[in-house]
Amino acid sequence: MKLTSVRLCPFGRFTDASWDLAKPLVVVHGPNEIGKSTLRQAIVHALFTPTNLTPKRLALAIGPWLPLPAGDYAAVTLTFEHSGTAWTLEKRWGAGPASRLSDGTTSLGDPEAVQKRLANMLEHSEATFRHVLFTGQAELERTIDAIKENAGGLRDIRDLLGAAASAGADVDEQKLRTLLDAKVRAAFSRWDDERERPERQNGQERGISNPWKKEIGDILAAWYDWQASEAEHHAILDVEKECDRVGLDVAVIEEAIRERETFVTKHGGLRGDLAERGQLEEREPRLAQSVAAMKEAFSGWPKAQAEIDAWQKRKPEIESQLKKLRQERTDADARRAGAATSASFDRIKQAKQVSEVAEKEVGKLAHPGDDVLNEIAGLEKEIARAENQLAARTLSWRIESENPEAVAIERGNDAAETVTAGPEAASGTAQGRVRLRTAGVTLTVESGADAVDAIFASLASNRTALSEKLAACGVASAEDARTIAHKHRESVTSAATQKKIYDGFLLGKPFEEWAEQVMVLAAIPATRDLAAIDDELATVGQRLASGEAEAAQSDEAIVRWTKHYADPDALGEQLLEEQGELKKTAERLKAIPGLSAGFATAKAFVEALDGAIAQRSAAEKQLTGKREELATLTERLGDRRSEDEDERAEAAQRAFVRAHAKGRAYLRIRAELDRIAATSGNDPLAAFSVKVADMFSRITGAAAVLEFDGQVPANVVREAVTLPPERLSQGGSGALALAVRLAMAEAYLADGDGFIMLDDPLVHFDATRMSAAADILRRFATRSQVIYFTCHDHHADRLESPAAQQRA
Amino acid sequence: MPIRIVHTADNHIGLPFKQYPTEVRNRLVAERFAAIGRLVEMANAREADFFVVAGDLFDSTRVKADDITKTVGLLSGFTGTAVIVVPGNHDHFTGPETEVWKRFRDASAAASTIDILATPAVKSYEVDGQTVHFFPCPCPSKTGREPTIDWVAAATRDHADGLRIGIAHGNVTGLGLDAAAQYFNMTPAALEASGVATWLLGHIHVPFPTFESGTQSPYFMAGTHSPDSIRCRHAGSAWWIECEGHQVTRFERLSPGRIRFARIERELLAADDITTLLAECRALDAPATILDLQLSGRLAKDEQASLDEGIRRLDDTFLHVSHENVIHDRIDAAKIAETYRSGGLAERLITALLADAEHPDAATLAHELIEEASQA
Repeated sequence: MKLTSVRLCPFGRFTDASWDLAKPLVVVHGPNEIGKSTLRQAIVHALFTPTNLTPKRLALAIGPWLPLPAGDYAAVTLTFEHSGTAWTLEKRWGAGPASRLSDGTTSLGDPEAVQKRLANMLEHSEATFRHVLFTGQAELERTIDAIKENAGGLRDIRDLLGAAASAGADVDEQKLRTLLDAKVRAAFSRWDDERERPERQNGQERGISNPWKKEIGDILAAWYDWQASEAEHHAILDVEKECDRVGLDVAVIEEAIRERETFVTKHGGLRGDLAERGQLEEREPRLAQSVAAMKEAFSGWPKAQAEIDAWQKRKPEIESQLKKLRQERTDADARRAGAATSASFDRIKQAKQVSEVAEKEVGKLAHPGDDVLNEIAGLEKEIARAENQLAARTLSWRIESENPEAVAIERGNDAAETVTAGPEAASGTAQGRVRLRTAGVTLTVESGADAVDAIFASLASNRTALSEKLAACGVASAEDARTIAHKHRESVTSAATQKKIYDGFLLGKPFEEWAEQVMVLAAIPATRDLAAIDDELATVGQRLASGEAEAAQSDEAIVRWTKHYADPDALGEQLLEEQGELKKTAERLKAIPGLSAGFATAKAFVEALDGAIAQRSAAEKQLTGKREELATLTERLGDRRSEDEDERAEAAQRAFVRAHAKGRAYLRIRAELDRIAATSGNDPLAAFSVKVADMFSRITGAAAVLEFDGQVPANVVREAVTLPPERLSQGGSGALALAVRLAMAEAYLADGDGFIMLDDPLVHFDATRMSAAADILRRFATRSQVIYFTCHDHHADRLESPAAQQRA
Repeated sequence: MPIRIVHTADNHIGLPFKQYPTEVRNRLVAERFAAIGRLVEMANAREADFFVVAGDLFDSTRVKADDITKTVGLLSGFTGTAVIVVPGNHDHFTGPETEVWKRFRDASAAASTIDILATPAVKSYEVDGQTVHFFPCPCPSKTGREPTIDWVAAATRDHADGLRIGIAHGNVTGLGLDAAAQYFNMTPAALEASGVATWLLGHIHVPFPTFESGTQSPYFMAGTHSPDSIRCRHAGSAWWIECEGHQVTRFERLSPGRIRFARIERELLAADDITTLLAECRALDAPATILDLQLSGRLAKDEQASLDEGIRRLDDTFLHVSHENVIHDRIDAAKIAETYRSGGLAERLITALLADAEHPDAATLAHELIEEASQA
């Protein structure tokens, strides 16, 4: 950007004034107070001050430039060239504010859009212009002072610039970091941000019950405050709850005291009377009971004696009657027992007869002996064995003949028989042997090896012996013999049985004794039946027993009465006395006030009264304790309310959140600072020292050499003499300051597009240095526009005219 | 004729307001009485039958005797059938010896229309031939886990005739925050199942229903008659309730309060924000408003000065102004350009931080740090 003209209409002291700036090196000169500063400020405001200002900002920024005495607006029109295009910038502040930026074809009217577009064209910030590219006398003076005063204390040009411009144009990283670290420490000290709790000490929590005492950061302080407030809130709430609990206890105790107090108040006065009533109430029934007993004795005594006497008379008669009845009962028992004896004797007689008949029957029966029966059985066995042998030798025969022929056939030992054999065969069987005779021929066939004849002989002999035995027994067969033997054995058994029955009936006594007994029984007299006797016996017995019991009872009563009262006369006297006592007691009871409902006796009432008094006393003691407890709690509570503390806790929480956010913002700043430090290198002032040295050398005509400590000029070496900056002359300092300013400007306007403004920077220069500086400025102007303000004509001349400079 | 009830609660007579300067405190204390007086006048003007205080008429059980006498004097002005006062948790009733109620009873002995219903027992009235049963559920302590209303469901069955109205004091689940359930918490379901036409409740200092008028509501939360803290931002509340037969037929919110509390939380980032804020403040009834400003943000120096001046002026007009302001110097691209040379550490640092929305104050703090470092 290169400025071409400026018009102030109005601005400050100028109602309407214009300057042509369309040259690389513009020298604005004139005496003091002519308005150079006004022009410079007009240009600055035109470029950087928006027109949509708040009243306050307007007053601050433009107020000094409103025309006196009562101007309400200021306006500047600036023309300039940028990238080959001519632009017109019009601004009006105060009344009717307006911004307009136009290149002849397009136009911007929105103040913010205008500023944005200008910022693009200017390429550098307002601060860069103010602190680097615009250099007034004041800035130069400050640069000189800074160099002198801070010699050795400044690390780089940024410090120098900051110090020189008296503005935060930049900051020393180390200083910032130190300050930031302090802030982070101040915020986070003793705070564990990861746990969001106080730092632990040896694994122990350091909460509000065990707080850190030293080095407490802002966050922890706010947290402690918050937690303390929360704890206070809970503590108050706890006390309030405790008050509730004790308050309820107090209410319960008060209620109990009231109940007992009411009872005591209502009934306490009756206490004495009711104590007597208690005694009388106990005595009255006792007296009544005693009188009743005496009355009973008094009336019962003679009656009892009479009863005893009467019984003594009746008793022998009853005893006699009882004796007779008992005899009758004995006879009746004997008769009943005799009836059984008679029946038994009848059965004995019958059994005796049956037994004797059976004995006789046995004697009548004939019977073979066991030996005979054994022989018969042996013969039967032998006969059967021979018959079986022959049956086993059975032979079959068959005779055939063409013509009928008579054949005699003998089968076994049987007699021969004749059969006729013809064409039709004749056949049959025979046991042991068969013999056929016909026509003079005898054919004998025998079965088995031994002789058949012996078998036939044995068989015949045994059959004969058997027949003889049977005949001797008088029976026809062996079976009959066995039958009669069996019958005989049965008769014998039957006779023995009957004899045993008979013996059983005798019950061990001889038949004759039974007969004699039956004769004695027949002599006992007749009685009533047993039941009738027993009934009468029971009645009479009962009569005797009850008479005896009653007499005994009467006797006992008399013994008891005698013991208690001695005799009936004494009893009468005692009765009269006791009745009098009872009457007096009843009358006294009537005179004493009655009992309250719910009490059976005065004693119970008095006990209740005493109990109520004791309970009231105990409750009053308890109440005193509870009230003291409540008073202590109330005192602890004071005028604190949990609701109020809750609000305070909320405020403390807000403060903690703010402190925490602030601490984290510091951490964020530090992180960003670290990042920037790691990527630094884009600072236009990075290669600053070379330029300063070059400028200084040219201004001083190479008579002096500048030495640097880092980027900051540290010494000036002239003719082997080394001078620290603070020892430089005013001219030397001025040269160094100009070199610094121009070097900085050159660094920023490296591409040549832009301008600088200088306000009489050469006032302390001698002619030589003035010439050198003017030359440098003219050369500078060939790349970037220079607007130079001066009140010195010769400065203007030398800058505007190289010839003049030449002359000088 | 409908039965007409004025329902108030949480009057907290005797609340000390000790966090405020004397003059303000006196105004606040006096206003609590004055608002009761106005509410009684409203009730009389509308010919209310009952004036019901559903708990916390007093701030504690140890209120000064003068305050009690003064309160009784105001309530005695009610011309309807009865003023019904039920103890709440702050002025809970533990027995006849409870100081505040003993004094209140003594002071109101001559006022036949004031009834303290300090025990859970039905109280019935006859109004123009209509029977009205009140079911009072007083608090026996300041805190309590068990609701006080459990007995009502059974009792309503024995009082089937007439209008049935419940009166209780405590939190209602969903209406107020009582995470620890220590303020006689009641559930809406339990309230609705108790068999009364409606419940007149107190405790949470804000009114329910949230609308100004209507025809039906199972329960009413009175809200305090005159706001008493910054948490209470309504104009003071009470209910006008009309009942016919066995039910509520109409209700309307009354506003007897004259002092308001207002908290404005605002982030200020530009001059316009200040203008808007101050306009909003000016729209309030300043002489009757306790204003609490919670301001944060980033402003230019001149804007901060303007804000300070604005607040100072508010201080002159408002009843009371408190503020917890955290305003930083605003730093923006223009400010950076104006202040820091291009490419320098400061310019790069602040520019980078300015883009960090997560730490909105970081750029401002960095700017302040750089200024501090430069002056060191």
